[in-house]
Amino acid sequence: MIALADCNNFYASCERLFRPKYIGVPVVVLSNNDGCVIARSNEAKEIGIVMGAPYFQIKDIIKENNIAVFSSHYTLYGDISARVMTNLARFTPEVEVYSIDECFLNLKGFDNLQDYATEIRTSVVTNTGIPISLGVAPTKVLAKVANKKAKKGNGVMVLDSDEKISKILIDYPVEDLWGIGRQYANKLISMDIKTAEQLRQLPIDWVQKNLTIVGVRMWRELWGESCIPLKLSLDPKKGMCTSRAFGKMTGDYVELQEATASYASRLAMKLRREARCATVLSVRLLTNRFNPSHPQCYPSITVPLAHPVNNTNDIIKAALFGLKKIYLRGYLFQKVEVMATGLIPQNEVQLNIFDKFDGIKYDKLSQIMDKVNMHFGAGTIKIATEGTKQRWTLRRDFLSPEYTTNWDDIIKTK
Amino acid sequence: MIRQIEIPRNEFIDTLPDPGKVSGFVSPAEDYKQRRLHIAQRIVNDPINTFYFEADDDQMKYFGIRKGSIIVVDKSVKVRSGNIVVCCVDDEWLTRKLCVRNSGTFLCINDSMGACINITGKDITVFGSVTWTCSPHNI
Repeated sequence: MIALADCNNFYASCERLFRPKYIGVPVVVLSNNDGCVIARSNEAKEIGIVMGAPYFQIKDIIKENNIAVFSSHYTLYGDISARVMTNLARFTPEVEVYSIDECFLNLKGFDNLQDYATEIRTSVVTNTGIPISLGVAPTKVLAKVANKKAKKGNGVMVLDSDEKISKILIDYPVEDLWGIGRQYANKLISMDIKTAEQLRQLPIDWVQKNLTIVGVRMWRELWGESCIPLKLSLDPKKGMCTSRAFGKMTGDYVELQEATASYASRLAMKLRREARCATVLSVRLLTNRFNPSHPQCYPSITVPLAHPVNNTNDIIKAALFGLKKIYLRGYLFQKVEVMATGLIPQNEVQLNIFDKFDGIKYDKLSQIMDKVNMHFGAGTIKIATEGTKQRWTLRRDFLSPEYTTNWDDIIKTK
Repeated sequence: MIRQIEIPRNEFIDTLPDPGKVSGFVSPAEDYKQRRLHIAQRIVNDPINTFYFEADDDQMKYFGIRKGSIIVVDKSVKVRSGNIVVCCVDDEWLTRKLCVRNSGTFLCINDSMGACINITGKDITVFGSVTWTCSPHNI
């Protein structure tokens, strides 16, 4: 049996943990740059705030309904997520952390699943303060269905018999099944397959003939035959990207240089953290395509690196070289993307006979920078090109304190 | 449970990781070395479920908690009557002793009932039990 543990309204729950007065009142969390709504509490959903609603459009509704607004605070969410996942991993040796707020657990071999699932849920809720729901079923697809039902009930749903599965699938819309996209759902609906149970009751021959492999796999999963195994090992990353929209649009070359250098530097740090080196770097500038009155362009360049690197200096140098080649005057850019591809393990770097590599000293420098930044907090030491004012940075007007990662921000009690 | 806590060296005071390793001198204590103590080994039993707060005043001085004290809360420790807890009442964070009696639920700043506030029926959120507090002295 597989369980899916899913945090209820995760981002909102993280904010509520340290501001209990927002429990029971509508809460929304905005995307980077406070652009649009990316998370809503149940109360906010009931008011009719939709996912992705632009903040400026719903300002009045927010005021009228006293909705609490937060900028997204990934430092906080990341820490709380790690706490939740570590607690979950205490209950079974096989877990697959599927997203920041979801985790599959292999419960094969455990008895009394209703009790065990309840124990898991209670333990996580007490230990972290984050409400979660658990759906337990023979397959991932069914665990997902069970989880959705659990959220509507008391937080735990175990589908351990065919009758229970059938009863739940009977009015479960086929488009809500995990792994069925909108297009595929439309195809099924046009064939008059509207509920999961209808799909399940089709003869396998017909499914094999008329639906693709997706349909066959879904059919098997619905019958309790696991086709999507738990992913227990990490695939090495092939590429890595840092991109984020600016707080304000800019066409200023110096500001773009600062932003590019800053993203490149973060990228280099991520490469070092995963012990990989990049062989190719690409840089892309983007204007705001939702603003058709401004001229649009998306210039990009791919820069091959003579020597695979992950030190900050060399990555920044290559990124700025790329920026220089693609920069166009007269456009207002909203975003820059710096991407590393052709990643190879750091200890498998081959030297190039035709090229003089003097990155060793930069490698050492980067290691020291990492240490200092780890000790004193991110951004303590940076390359001067990254700029000191950084006027293009994220707008985060409703950011909560770093309650769990910064001694200056821990809560003071009377 | 066997658990190692990594204690980062203060690299500004101690620039060398191990001065004994510089000269090659073999210490007669070599065979008797044991890991030095660190306070976190005693205070933080379950780091994943531990949160930190700080006392803002001396109201809880009866229990040895003064302004600037670090308050360690382990959420995996069950909250019981008689525990010192961190809780939130009307959007204000408090550290108090929690007393559940037949006559109601109280938050106390010492062991006399006269100094307790009755919170029966009030909407309070208990964050968790305080497992340790650390008070600063000559710093």
